Amino acid sequence: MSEVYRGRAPNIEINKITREKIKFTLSGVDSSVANSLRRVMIAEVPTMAIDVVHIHTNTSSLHDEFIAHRLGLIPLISENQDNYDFPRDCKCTGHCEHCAVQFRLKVKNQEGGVLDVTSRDLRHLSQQGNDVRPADSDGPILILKLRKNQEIDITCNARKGIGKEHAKWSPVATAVFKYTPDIYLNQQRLESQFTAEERKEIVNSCPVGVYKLNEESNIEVVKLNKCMFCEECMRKGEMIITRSASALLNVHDNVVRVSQLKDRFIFKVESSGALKPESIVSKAFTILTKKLDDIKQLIPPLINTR
Amino acid sequence: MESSDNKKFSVAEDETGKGCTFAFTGEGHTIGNALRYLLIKNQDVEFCGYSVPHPAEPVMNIRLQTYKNPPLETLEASLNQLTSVCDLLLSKLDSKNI
Repeated sequence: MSEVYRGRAPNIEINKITREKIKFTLSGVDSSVANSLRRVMIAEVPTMAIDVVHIHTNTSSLHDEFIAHRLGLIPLISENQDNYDFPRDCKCTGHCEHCAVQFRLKVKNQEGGVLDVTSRDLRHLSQQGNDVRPADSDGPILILKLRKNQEIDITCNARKGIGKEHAKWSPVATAVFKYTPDIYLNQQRLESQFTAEERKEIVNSCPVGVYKLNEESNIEVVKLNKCMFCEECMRKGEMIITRSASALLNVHDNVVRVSQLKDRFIFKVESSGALKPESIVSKAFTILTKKLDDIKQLIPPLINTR
Repeated sequence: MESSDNKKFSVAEDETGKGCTFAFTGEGHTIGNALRYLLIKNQDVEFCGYSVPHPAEPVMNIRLQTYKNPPLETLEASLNQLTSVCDLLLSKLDSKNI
């Protein structure tokens, strides 16, 4: 490994975890490996989602397909998805408790006014599968609304799948990475050739507030990871230098330089609610390993036959 | 929809025995680009490139030419390398995730 990564061992540091978000730094790997991780998180980590919908009665103002689509997009808590099989791998014909969780949505507005039908109206059809339920910790998810005497009666199956087949199975809302910013400030020149007012101009040029003026009115980097490489600070620095004719000789030696560390990646992963953000990341590594193992198993027979 | 059992892997070998084109069914850029990177870092590799010929077909090709070792074994080594990186990162993640 040391040949490949030139002495920097692959590492992962967690910067922040909340209920729906994780931020971490992946270092010592190439961008292609970081991108593999990102792609697997988006399209290949399995979750459960409503997939087959039987509509018995629908007198609401929304048509059947529309409701079926909305049901599919409800995130279902899928921490126990390992207990379920992909429908294509299951031995049953149709569906069984190993590959599907059945729900019923049966609501009628008898009182008048407008009745909200939400994910909390989805009831399990059997005792099994209670571990798979709508992720509504941020409140119920609206499916449709009913006027007086309108009625909806639906049974539906939640099945296991991956984001590659349909985005409703993707466990992430966002999964992005960027290079780690590296900011160099020539403090000596900033102090000797710039006025306090000019330093403030550089600080204010940053749209995301990476810099701050400290008590001695010198520039300080306070939110490095916020940097989005717009280079406004570099441009402002150059502009100020060219403005004062005395410093013309040093135009190319900028006082602020922003560059990217190309083997340190800042990841931000937001969960859809189906899986905990940290389990999305660890699942992604497991799946990547499994993909490689699948290929490896196909190779030895080929070596032997030659 | 691709299923786990229709994963296929085929090899087209040159007469020299030092060049191969591997065709992976059911794989794409996710594995292709990472493997390509690991292979071109290998000192014994003369050339390595990957392509997904058509986005609607689940096939990914890797072209690999080596100086000395058989390409198939070189590919296997790179697969092992990537696996060890994944395992290492997973164990580091698990140790921090209590």
